[in-house]
Amino acid sequence: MAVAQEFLLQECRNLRGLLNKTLRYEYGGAVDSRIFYQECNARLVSLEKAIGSAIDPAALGEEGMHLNELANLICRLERSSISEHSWPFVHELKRIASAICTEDTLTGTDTPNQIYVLADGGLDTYQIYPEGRRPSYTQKRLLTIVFPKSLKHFVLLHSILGHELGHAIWNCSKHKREMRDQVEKHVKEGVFASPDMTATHIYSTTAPLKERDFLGSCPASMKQDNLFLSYANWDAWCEEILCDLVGLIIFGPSFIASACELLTSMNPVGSGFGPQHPPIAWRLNYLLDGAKILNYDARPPNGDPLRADIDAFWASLETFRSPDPWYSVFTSDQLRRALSGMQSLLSRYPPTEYPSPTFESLEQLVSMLKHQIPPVGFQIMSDDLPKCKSVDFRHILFSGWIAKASRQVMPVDVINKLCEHAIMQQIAIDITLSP
Amino acid sequence: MAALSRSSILARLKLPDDLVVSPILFDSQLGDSSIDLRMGTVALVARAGGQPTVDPAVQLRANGDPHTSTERREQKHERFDVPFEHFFLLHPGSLLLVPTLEWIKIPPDLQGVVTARSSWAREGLNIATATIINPGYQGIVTLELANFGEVPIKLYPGLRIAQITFYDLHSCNPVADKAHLDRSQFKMSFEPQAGKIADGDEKFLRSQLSP
Repeated sequence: MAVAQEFLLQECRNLRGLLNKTLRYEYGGAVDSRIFYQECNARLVSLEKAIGSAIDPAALGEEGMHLNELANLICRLERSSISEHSWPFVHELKRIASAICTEDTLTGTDTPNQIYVLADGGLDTYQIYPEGRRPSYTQKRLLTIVFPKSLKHFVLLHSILGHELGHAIWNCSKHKREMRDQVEKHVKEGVFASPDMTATHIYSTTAPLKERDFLGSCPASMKQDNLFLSYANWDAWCEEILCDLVGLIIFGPSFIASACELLTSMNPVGSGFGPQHPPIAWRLNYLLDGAKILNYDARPPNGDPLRADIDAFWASLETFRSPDPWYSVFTSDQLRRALSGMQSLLSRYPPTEYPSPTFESLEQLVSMLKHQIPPVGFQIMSDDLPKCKSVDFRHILFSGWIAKASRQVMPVDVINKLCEHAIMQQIAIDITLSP
Repeated sequence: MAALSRSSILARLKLPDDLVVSPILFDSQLGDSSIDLRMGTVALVARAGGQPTVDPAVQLRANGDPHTSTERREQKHERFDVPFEHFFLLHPGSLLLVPTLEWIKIPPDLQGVVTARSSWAREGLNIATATIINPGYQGIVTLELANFGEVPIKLYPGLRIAQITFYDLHSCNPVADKAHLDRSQFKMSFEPQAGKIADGDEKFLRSQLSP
């Protein structure tokens, strides 16, 4: 044990050297880098003490694991500083995460999590790594938000991070109980009443052919009675469902649009499920149903300039719906109650809940985009005075999705860059409007 | 060619699909015959060691080799994201490329000219000499900033550091010019980029191009 102890103490010294090197870079500004440094340093001091005083190999092993996680974290911080991101989007995402992902810590109640961002390869890299374990009751939980590097400017797709925020909230000590209560009360009914009920539905003879084909392609040892014992995690599926609903309530219509585009692009066949994720088609169906329940699909009156565009947007999303009843796993009442429960939590932490825009405001944003102008709250009034107003960044994203679905021929990367630029400009507008 | 007055600029800004400068954050940004432009949130500064010399012939030779030309372009500048309420320090003698905060669209019958604001020029901040923005252009305007003074200047995104004036083009024929302008459709500038200093001048450089 003495050898291991000495080795780990040396590794603590090595890590301190690495941590000091991170100050060569800036990540998110000088204030952020100071907080990261102080937080990591506090953890290192605590680990050094715990390793030095460990009295048995098991305790030493535990501290060694914490040390390993800290090493990962410090190296990610360094990588974070050299990758480029859509900073305007990150700014807005941080505002939401900082509002709801708060915890009681040594420094006070409602301490916001500290957030940093990474870019990595692959479309499936959209993630938030919430910290499950920390070496001690330190000052802040650190959230790592990961973007796909190739999609740097694709802010419309970044709306999918609403789901990942759901996982962060799920792991937030302040909301853990309420989130799990919501699952117990509203998700675990009907098809999701138990793992057996879900497995029965999956193996039902009424399942569409392509789903039965998928089951046929799975290992022969996978059966209805051991599906959630050996091959899939039913509790993880329930968590995923709740996180989908959280994403919907945070990002509104843009969340569904990004889910439709990303999930079906990564699995064009659209059948099957993963060990941690329920079938994609189930997810898209309940999201589309949820949008109706939340009245996100409200339309302006006939003849309104925006009507045709909004119709086209929702019609494009409805093409992702799977009409077979097997794919609808929640009743309207169940979904309504689940959404209402989540709304009551998220609405307590503004600006977390998606605020529906007025048609007038949305029409202005869509019109600007169609004229290839970043859509922001600005116009020259009839009295010749420039007028700026606050616009939620999620409305900018929604206008982008509407423009994408409209018959306007504009490359999708241009729409995304215009929206990204608009989010940056809107931050400037909001600064000038602030007291 | 005549410069547009404040009222003419406003009249054009109100027309659909015409002149665009967006957003204008305050009325005071509109001058008697110009609009002040603000610094955006990106800064490109020449990377030490990125290239030994600025030589159009070398640039032209590299164009035949995708690896070399891309490498030169990508390594030429260091790119910095500068969020609002943060600053970038411009040292004496340094050249910095920054975008404007504003999105600009110039209609076919106008030309924009970007110049420094005199208040900043007095502090040593120079913005090229005069940047012409051609008809049909849309995007941010790249400002080439140089510190001609002797003390470093802190530049904060959102500050008004330049101004744009507009001139109407005599004998403009939008129909005849349309085909030329249409070629630039969707070619928008979102960020500053290194210029193409050799394109179109190959004949003057051909002695340098042969092996």
